[in-house]
Amino acid sequence: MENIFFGKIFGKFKLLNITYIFMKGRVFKQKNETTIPNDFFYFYEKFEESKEFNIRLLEINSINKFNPFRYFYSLYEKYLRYRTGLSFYGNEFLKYQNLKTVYKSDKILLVNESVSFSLLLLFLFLKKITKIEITIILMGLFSKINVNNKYHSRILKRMFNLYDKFIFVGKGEYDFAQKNYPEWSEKYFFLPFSVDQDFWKPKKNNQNKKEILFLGNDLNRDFEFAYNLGKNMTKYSFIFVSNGFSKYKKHKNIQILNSNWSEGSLADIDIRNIFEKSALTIVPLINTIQPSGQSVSLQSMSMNVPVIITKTEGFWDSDTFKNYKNIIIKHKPQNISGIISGTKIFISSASTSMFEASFLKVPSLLFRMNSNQNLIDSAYEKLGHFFNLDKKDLISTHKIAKLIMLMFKNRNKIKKMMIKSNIEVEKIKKNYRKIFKFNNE
Amino acid sequence: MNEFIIKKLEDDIINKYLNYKNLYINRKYSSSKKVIKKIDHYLWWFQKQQKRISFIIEKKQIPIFISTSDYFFLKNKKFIYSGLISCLPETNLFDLLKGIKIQNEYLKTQKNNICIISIDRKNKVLMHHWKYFGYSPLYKDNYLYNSIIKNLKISKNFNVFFKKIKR
Repeated sequence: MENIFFGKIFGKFKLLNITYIFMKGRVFKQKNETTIPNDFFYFYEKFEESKEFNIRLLEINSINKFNPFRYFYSLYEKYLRYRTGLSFYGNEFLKYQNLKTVYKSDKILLVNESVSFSLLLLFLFLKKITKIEITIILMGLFSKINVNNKYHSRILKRMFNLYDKFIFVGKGEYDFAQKNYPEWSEKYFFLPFSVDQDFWKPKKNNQNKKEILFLGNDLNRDFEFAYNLGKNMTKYSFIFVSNGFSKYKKHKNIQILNSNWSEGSLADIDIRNIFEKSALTIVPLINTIQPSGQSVSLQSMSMNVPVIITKTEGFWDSDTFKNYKNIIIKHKPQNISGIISGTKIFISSASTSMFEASFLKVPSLLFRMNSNQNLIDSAYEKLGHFFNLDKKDLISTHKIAKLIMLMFKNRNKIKKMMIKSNIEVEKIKKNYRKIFKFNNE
Repeated sequence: MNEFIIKKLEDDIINKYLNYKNLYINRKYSSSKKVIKKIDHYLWWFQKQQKRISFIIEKKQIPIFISTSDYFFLKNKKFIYSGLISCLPETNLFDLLKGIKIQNEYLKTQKNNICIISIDRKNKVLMHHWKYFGYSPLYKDNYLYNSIIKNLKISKNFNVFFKKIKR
């Protein structure tokens, strides 16, 4: 991937001045954390190691002395934020040293759309007086832009005309741009986000993993779903590393750790330690075009912790990750009855195991997964299965989760319904004997 | 032997209940004309159905109607919002009036309540018969009108009627 980055994006050149502009947090991390992953540095350290480039790292949120011009500019940006709802914080970047570095740069990399909004006015001016190539890394531009808003529409067009290269880290967003803004498609590149696999590597083979982990502050996370899941699954222990749960009540089985990556309130090593003791990472999302949950999912998989994630429009790599494909069955029980007998709610395809569930009177939620599973409701009811859905219903994950919780709550009632079911075992026996010609029984 | 009998509504009717609700005759005069999905019905069953009081009206051992009564409090008053679901794709006026009569007999036993019904303006049969069952129209200037409409999510195409059941 670095080869693509060096070659396609920056071309082959020597001693170029390259400047990375981040929003905030990198300088703090570099100063305060001894071991940090390079996930969110976008190959900065590779350029830094190379003798072929002069590399600089700048941040928008810099500490500045009072300056009347900057003050008035900040008021103007405040107005822009009010009118557009977008991030305009360019005033914080305005200081002599930063402007000098930018002016001397040959190539500039803006690491997200917030940085690109903030510096749009500055680069509109700078591009007229100097030749700079500006590249942006995008991760959710179109979830922030409302094309029906005339201000947003103007800003987007200005960005497409002004900036030179657009790197999309999510496939969904890349495809969206190709489809809806094809006139600038030559500027688009798709580079899937990658994590530092040297850092995100399990240190020990921990067999005693128990925790279910939720990690992240992104507003596209479905905090309510995660909280309700934890609240209702009291037998499991959850760790929520996020600032998104401050309004929720504390629960015995949910440990909430406030964290903000850019502020470094929890170091990456601490997060790696949390992954070490986690059995599963959950990434519930609200549907969006933004490649949400990408870094956490990749970090988790790199740490050998499986991930359950919501499928959204902005899912970041639908070519590699296929729904219902590449499922590895880790445990294949030989005796299905033995497994079902200890189960409180049996969720299954409407296949042969429903007979065991029926025999054991285990409340069940069945899904008709293929055309063979085509019994009518009354036939399932005779077996005691009153809750059966179609495969397509699986898309409504929120509703399914809610239904399972309600069924769990009402399982004694459902058991009573099952007891009433009127299957006649003797008739089944007769049919078996007749069809399979078991005369000696 | 009585031709019409009432039966307790049990949970094992859950799937049949959905089939009844999705019959065209019921959707036609309902506030939502859409076919109800099974998953939504199951969720509703556990969340709402269990709070309402319902019974089945059978004619010659065949279910013909389900009578529903939702109880709620509003402005310190007790209300019952009652409805009738047909179990058959077609019904006749005699059975319908009999069904309403049986439902009213039940409602009479619910002392100190205000009964509310809503009728689609296009439902000509019921729009001509509400007065015979002791109901009065709930007009828009009634102080309870807006609260009831909002609470029960009654569509604008429906007229609302009420009757008080005294102690």
